[in-house]
Amino acid sequence: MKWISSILFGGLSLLAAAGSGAQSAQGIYSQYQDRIYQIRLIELASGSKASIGSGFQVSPEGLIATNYHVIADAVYEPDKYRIEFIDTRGRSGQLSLLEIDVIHDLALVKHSEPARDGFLQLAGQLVQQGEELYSIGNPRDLGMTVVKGTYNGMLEHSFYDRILFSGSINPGMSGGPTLNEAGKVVGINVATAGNQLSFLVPVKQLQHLLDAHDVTRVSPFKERILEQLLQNQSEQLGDLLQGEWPLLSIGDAKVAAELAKFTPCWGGSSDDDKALYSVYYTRCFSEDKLYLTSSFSTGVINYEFYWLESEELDSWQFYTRYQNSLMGAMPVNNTSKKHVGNFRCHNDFVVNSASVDSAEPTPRHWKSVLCARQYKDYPGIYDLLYIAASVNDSHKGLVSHFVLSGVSKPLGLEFAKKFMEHIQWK
Amino acid sequence: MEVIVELVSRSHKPIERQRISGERCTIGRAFDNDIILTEAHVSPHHAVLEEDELGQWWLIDCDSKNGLKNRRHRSLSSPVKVSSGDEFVLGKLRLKFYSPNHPVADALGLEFSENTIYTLSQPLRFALFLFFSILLFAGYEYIQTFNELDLREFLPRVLATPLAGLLWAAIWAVAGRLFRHEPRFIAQCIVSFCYLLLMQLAEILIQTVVFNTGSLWLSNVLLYFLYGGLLVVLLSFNLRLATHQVRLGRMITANVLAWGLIATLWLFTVFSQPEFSNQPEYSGMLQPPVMRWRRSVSVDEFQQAADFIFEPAVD
Repeated sequence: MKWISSILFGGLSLLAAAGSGAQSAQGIYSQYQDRIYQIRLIELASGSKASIGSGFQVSPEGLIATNYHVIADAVYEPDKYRIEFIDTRGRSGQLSLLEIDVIHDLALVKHSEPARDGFLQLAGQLVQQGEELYSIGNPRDLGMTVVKGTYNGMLEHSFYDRILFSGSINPGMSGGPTLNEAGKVVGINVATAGNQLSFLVPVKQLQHLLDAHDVTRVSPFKERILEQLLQNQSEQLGDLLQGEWPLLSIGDAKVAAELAKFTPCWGGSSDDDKALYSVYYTRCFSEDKLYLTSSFSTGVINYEFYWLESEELDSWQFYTRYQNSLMGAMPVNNTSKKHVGNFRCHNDFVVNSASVDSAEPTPRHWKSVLCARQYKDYPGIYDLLYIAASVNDSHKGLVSHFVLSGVSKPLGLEFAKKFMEHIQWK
Repeated sequence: MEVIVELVSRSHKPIERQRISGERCTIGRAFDNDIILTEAHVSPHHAVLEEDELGQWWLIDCDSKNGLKNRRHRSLSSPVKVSSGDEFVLGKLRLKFYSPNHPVADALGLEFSENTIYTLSQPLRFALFLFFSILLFAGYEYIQTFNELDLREFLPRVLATPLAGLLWAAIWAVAGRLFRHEPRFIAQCIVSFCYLLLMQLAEILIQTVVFNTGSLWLSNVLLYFLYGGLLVVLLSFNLRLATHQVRLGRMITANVLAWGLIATLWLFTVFSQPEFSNQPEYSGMLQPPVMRWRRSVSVDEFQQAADFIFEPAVD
C-alpha cells in the first residue's frame, strides 16, 4: 500500500472529530493533561511564534520529549529562534535543547525551572493489534486535544520502526504522546497520511534516547547529526550490500528487484497509442526521508530501470527517443543551496561482461554518468546520482538509475560498483 | 576636345555617361544643350566646358541661378579649372568629367563561389537545389521523430527552416535593391539554404563529439565557434551580394556582427545561469552504436576517474 506521509505541521488535512469513547478519553485527558505542553519556536527578531508542536514531560527533572522536526530550525539557526512551552493552564517558559535523534525524529528539551508537577511513564510491554490508544497534542494551535484511535502494528515498508495508528493526528500534534489505557506512553506522534492514517515513533526509541543521553556531552548538535547519519547509513546500506541481489526480468535484461522491504518496487509500461516504441519500467524507492530542516531532507534510496525497444523506428529515431530517458535525472530529496553544493558529474563509456543464458559472457557497453554533491554542514556526506544507458543495440536499450541521498563516499562507491555490475543479460 | 560626362548619384555611383566631341560642351536644362539636365534647380543654360590652347579644361558658369559647386557643396567662382575625374554639383545633380585616357582599375576575377551561385541561379537548377535542400531538412526532422508520423505536425516543422531561410534572403534582397540596385534574391536564397544545411551538419557533428567525449565544456566551445564561424561566412556572402563593400570591409562587418551576436548570447547564458541548481549538469546525448568511437573503460577505471566529483565544490 502506498502512503504519503506529511510532517504534521505542514500540509492541509481536514480536522477530524475526536471519536467516541469519550469517558475513557476524558479520564486520560483530565489525568495527564498537566504533563503535556505545546512547544513553540519563537523567532527572536519578530518575537512571535514561527512554528508549533507538542511535547510531554518524561522525568521529574523537567525533561520533555518532542519530535526533532518540531525544534529543527532552532538546531540549524540557534541565534534566530528560542524554544518555549505553554502548559494547559497557560503558563509558559523557556526550554533548552539537550539531545536530538534525527533518525527517529526525537528530541529532548528541558524546563528552565525544573521540578514541576508530574511526568508520563513509558510503557514497557508491547501493545496488541486493535488496542485502543489516545493521542494527545495541540492541533493547529486550536487547543490541547485528545484523539482516540487503534494500534495497527508496525509499518511494513519502512526501514525505521513506525507504529501505524488509526486515528486522526493533525499538524501541531507532532511530539505529543500516544498513551495506552493505563496512561503510559506507547508512541510519539510524528506524521500523518490523512484519513486516520497516522504514524508514531515507538516509545522504545525514546527510551534509547533517554538511556543514551549524557548530560556532560557538549558536542555541537550538527556533529551529533553527522554521527547519526553515518551510523544509520552504514546499517541501512550495509544490509543492501550483503549477498546476492534478487533479480527480475525487464526486456532482455535481469535487474535488481526489491532489495529490502523498505525499498518496495512498482512497475508499468507506456501505453501511448501513437508511440512507435515500447517502454517498460520498474521503480523501487524508500519512503523514509530523514527530516533535517524544513528546507532539507535526506536518507532516500531510489533505483529504477527503463527498457526501451522498437522494431519500427530507424536507429537514429530510436536513439533520439532513448536519449530522452537518459536526460534530466534529478535527486529526490528536498534541499537548497544553503545545505548542499552543486552536483559534479563524470561521464564515460563503461564496459562490463555478464550473461545469463549463453555460456560466453558478451561485453556490454554503457554510457554512464555518476554525479555527487557535498553536504555543506556534514563533510564527507553526499547525494550520489547515477544514470546509464546501454549502447549495444540499435533498436533496444536499458536505462539504469539510482539516487542515494546522504551517503559517504566509500559506501556510495561500493553501492555504485555493485549496481553497475549486477545487471545480467539473456 | 573629347570628354566623357558622367551623371552620378549622391553616393557617387554612376547613373549614366555620355561621350561629347567638339569645341565646347554646353550644359543646362534647355534642349539645345549638349548635356541636358532635367532638374528644376538647373538653369536652362547653366554652364559650359571649354578647352584652352594648352589642352586645359575650364568649366564656365553662364550666369546660372544656383551657380557651380564642388563635391562638398562649396560655391566656386567661374571659370573653374577641371581635371579628369573631378566632380561638380549643378542644381541638385552631380556631374563628373573624364578624359578618354583616364585610368581604370584592373578587372576582378570571378570567384569560385560567385560562379557556383551563378550556376545554381538558373531556374531549373535552382528548383532542383530547393527540392533537395527541403528533402534534407525533412530528413533531419524525420530522424528526430519517434511517434507515428503526423503530417499536420511534421510539415510545419520541416517547412519552418526553409521559410526562415527565404525570409532572411528576402531581407538581404531588399538591402541589395537599396545598395546595389539589384536584389539577387535567388543568390541570397542559395546562400541562406547552404548555411542552414551546414548548421544542421554542425549540430550532428557536435552531438557526435559530445556523445563520445561526454564533455559539456567541449560541446559549448564547439557550439559557439562553429555557429559563430558559419554566421561569419553567411554574413560575408550576404554582404557581398547586397553591398559594394570591398573584401576587407565585408570581413570586418561580418566578423563584428557574428562574434558580437555570439558573445552576447554567451554572456546572456553565463549571467542567466543560476548559482545553484538542484539538477545535475551532464550530457545525456546518445547516438546509434555506429557513431561510438571512444573506448569503454572498466567499472573500476570509471570510479577512479570519477574521484573528482567528491571534491569540495568551488563556490
